[in-house]
Amino acid sequence: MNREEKLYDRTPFVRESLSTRDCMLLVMLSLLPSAGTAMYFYGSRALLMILISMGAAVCTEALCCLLFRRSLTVTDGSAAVSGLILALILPPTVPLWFPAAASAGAMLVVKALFGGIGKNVLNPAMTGKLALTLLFYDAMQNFGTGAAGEAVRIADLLSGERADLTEILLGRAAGGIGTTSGVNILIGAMILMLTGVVSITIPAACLAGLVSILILFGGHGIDPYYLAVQILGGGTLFTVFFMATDFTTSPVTRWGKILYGVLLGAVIALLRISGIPGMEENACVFALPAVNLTARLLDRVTMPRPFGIRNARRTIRYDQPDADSEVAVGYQDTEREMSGSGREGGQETILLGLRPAVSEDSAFLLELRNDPITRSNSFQTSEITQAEHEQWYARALQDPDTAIYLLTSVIDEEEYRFGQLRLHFEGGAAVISYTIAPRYRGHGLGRELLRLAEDAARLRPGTTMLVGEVKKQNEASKKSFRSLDYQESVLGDHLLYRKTLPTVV
Amino acid sequence: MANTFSGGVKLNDGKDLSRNAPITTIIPGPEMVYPLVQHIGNPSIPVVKAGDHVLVGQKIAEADTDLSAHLHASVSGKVLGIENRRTADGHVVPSIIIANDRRYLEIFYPENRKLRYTSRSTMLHAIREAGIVGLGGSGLPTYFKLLGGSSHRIDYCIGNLVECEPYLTSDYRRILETPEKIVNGLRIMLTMFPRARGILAVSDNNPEGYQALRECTRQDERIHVRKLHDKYPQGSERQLIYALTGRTLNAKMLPYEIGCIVNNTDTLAAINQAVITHEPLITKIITVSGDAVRSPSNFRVRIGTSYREVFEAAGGLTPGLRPEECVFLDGGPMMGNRIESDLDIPVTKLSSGIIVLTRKSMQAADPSACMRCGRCVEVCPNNLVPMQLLRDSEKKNESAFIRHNGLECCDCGTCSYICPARINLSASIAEMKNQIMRDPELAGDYARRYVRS
Repeated sequence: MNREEKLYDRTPFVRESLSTRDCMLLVMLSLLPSAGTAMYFYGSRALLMILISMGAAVCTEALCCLLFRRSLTVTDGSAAVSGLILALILPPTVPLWFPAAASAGAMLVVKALFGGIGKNVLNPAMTGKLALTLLFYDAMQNFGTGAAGEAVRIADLLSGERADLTEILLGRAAGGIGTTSGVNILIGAMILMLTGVVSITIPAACLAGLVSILILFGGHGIDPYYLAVQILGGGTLFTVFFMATDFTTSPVTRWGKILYGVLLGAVIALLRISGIPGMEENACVFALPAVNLTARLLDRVTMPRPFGIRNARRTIRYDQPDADSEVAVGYQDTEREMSGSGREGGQETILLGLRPAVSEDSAFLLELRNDPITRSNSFQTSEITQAEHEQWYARALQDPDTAIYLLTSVIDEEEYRFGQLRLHFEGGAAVISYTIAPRYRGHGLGRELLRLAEDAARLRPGTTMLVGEVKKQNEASKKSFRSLDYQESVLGDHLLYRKTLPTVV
Repeated sequence: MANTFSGGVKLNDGKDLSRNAPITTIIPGPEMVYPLVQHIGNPSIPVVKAGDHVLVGQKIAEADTDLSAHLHASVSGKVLGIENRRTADGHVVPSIIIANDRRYLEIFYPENRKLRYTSRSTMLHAIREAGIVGLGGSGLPTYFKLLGGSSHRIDYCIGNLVECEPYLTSDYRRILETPEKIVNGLRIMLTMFPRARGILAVSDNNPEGYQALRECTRQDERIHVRKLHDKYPQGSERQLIYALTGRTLNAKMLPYEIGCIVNNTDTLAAINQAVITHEPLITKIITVSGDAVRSPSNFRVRIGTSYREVFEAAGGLTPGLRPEECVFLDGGPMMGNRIESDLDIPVTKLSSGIIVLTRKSMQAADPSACMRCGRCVEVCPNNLVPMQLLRDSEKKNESAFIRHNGLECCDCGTCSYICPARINLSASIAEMKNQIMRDPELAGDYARRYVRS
């Protein structure tokens, strides 16, 4: 089949229409309000920064793809998104080669060298900014004035200066060119979440972690002004909604996302209150790449438990219920069952059934076989060793002419095993041998088992006759066979019971 | 109760195409084909030979083992022989060929049974004789399932009427047209399991069926009709049981171990027919739909009829479309298979629909790189991490695959459906899973869920 044909040969044959490129386009769309903030305050210089950054990112990505001989992934838009984000988080006064260099470097070192889309461990944009901050600290802290008027720094706000919060919410604050307007970020975030591109888990967990650490250790208690400044200033909102939610560098499991968010929020908060100079503005820049490193690990430790797996082990209990247990060993009369009621005369009845024996039943069967009374009633009376038994059992399970069943009942999700039935098929006959576990003898279970044996024998096509051999002194078995109208004949020191398999109408 | 499960997706179900088309009967052509494998176990053993004359309802092949089922003729006529024929899944299987004499002479059916005077063993026997298997696609003989269930305390007998596959409307029509047959099938189940409550589960997108079933069960104290969220894969056995009862089971377990017996719409209807009127399973309701079908329809089809006749009864392709522009599917688009050959393949007990989609509508694209968006993890109904399982199968790392619970996958395809990179997660996972299941030592307890060979 050729390649074209194969495209249509993939189950499932219908697919969700949202593609990787759609995701990236939606992310870009949701970043538009923030880009608008940048252009409103900083005009054409902001636009220039954005274009340079995106251009550098896209070109580098394309070159890397050619260089590493990967399929060309530029068209998916992920490089353009990284470039856009990087421009938006830079301060307005940086030389224009900053966005170009950072974008190109991030695409090459952080993304391409790790293996391209989906393989990078660190967020390219934030790592690019981190590199610039470490290399050109002063240039990166000059937020200028621009159209924003006197830019308010988060550090000043925290050291006591009070400002109008609505101004900050609208973007008149110091920071990356696109990260200052809380309103525009939230509009973008709404687009992102309503279209289902990202879920609210990480941002919510992150803000929760941030706020709780600040309340506990910030020294201001529950002070709305203080908390608002922390959330709105220093690029927090932008980081939380657009960078912490980056697919590739965040966990995929639900609990991984929650832990990751809380961890990121906590690290940002702790850096802010650590007192290290400059951390008020730059906490996010250091926190995000650090927390990125934990994403893969968090995925591994929070691997979800599959549906229903806690019931993984069936409990096969074969020590019997206590003698004084309330479950009375009885049986449900198959004829009476038709009346549709499970209870008879107020006594709880249990449902008996046959199930095929499995290898786990080996120990139970050995115990049955070595029971002194069973031994004396069978035709080979010496004790059977474990090894002998296992060899026999493995062969018997394989033998197409032998079927082994256990007489069982499941009571409150636990299986009780009452006995075993072995059918050996020869010609049209099924030769029956059965044992009831010592504890349950004397309740008429043998008769029930023989009755069920007829159903089991019918499973084998062509079976017309049931045959049982019983030692003369085995009164219990004789009684069971007789009660089900088997024909008795004497054969040496034992009795032979025969019955034509009744046809069911 | 939650009425649903966690994960899953809302699909554009396409059921409107054939929802309003009443079930009509198709007159079969001259040659009927009965593959000997229409169940999970060994092939059935033919009991007729070339030259024999058979009647409608006559047994033509017998079950070989527990996991196999009887087969019956659906037309009267002469047995032409036993030949190898291709089936919908692409396998070539020995099949009984019968020349249809178009007289439809039936075998003698005894007088209808009265449920009240019918014993449990009679019911079991009737179900086995009728050759009923899990008609939702499992192919597990119903007799075998019920026999296994009889040693457990069964609290719920569930009718799975959800039909969550897109496009298929055969269950929808059946519920609407003959709800009493389905309800009666459940009544039979309840007679066999006297402690159980009966639940009929329908999807939210089927309010008419819900009403019809409510009407029908007004007198039954033991039967409850429940509406579940319209979500894929709500009809998957484990998700269904969870939504209805809150009980969970994993892929190693069978429903009766947690006290549930689940049968689907068709199976319940077939049980009713087998127990009450002695009729074997010889017809199926087949939906022919999809955006490339001229007049999407629902048909009652005799088993053995060829897909071509069924497809042509729906008017064939939409005028203007060429077959090369379409893809033919056996079953629904989520879990069905592509029909790679021509349409000269027989309808079997496990057929449910012929869905024909235009290539344009399929969103087909080459897979691109995974960007770890985590959507597959969000939607997986079994709480797995499909992207991790994909990585394990690409590396052929069996132990990691098992450690990451890959064998719990139910092949629902939801991860592939949602993947924005169009990666074929479920197909790769299924391939790896099948490979592991072939090795009993690796498969361990999972081997208990009989894999189709």
